[in-house]
Amino acid sequence: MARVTCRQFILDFLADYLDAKLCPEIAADLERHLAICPPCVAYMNTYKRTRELVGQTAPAEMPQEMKTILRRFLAEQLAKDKF
Amino acid sequence: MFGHGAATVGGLRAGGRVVEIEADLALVERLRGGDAAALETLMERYAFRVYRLAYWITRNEADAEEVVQDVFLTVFRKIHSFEGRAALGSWIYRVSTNAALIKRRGRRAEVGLSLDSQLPTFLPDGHRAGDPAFVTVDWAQTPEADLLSRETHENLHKAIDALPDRHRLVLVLRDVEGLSNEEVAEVVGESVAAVKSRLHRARMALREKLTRHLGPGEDGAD
Repeated sequence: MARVTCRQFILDFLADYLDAKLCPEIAADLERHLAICPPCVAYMNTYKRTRELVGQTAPAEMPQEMKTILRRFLAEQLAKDKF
Repeated sequence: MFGHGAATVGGLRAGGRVVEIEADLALVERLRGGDAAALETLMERYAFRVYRLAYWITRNEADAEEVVQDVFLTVFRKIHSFEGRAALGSWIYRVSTNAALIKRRGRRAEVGLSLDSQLPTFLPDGHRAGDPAFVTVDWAQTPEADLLSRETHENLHKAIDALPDRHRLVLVLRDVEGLSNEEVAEVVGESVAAVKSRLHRARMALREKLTRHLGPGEDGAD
């Protein structure tokens, strides 16, 4: 592959690179680019951390009473189905 | 089912996937037989995941609760029409997605949201454009306490909420629920390429907003 640009790294390859979905030759080209491009290293690190933070912001748990409400709701609805 | 974040049956991969599929098939048969205990098992396996997905799509706890109720009722009533071509979890996610999107669209009209202004821009030579301090900031090295602060979370929540529905959906399925790109594509009924493109744009947009919050100072661009 010809020399990688920042545009190519960020727009075309970054996600697959972080998912380890690229062939070794392309991954090596990208790593050569990262070795001389601090802005792309910074972008990659912050992109990766963004992904992690999204995963960490989910609600911790469904409220326990919701399961009780769900059971009651389903029992009522299914009882209606039988008539 | 699938995904890094799911527990027990849901988090298995490779050889465990066979066990998971067999467990789901057995559950489907019990549900078809009207086994009430099977419904309880279904709830234990999927209620939280349905709620979490519904919450992220609707951004409303009450709506998410209603979606959970609708989804489980639908699954139980329509289990006989489940053909098993997709995994049970995939089918449940698809039902959940559709129910949550309908609920969301009933609440708020989505008015031509565009992410273009939140994506990185580039110079003709392929380098990133913009203030050098902004372009080189690496806030991933920021102390964990700052990254997990209430303010950062609020900023992130607002940014996720501001995403177009279809972008937020793939982001949640992939980065919250832990589905693979292929599994997300199966749930939303689109190509893997389309899913990957939309997901990448969503992540870049969120990264941009977090960088403005955590970076060297507001650059005024939007």
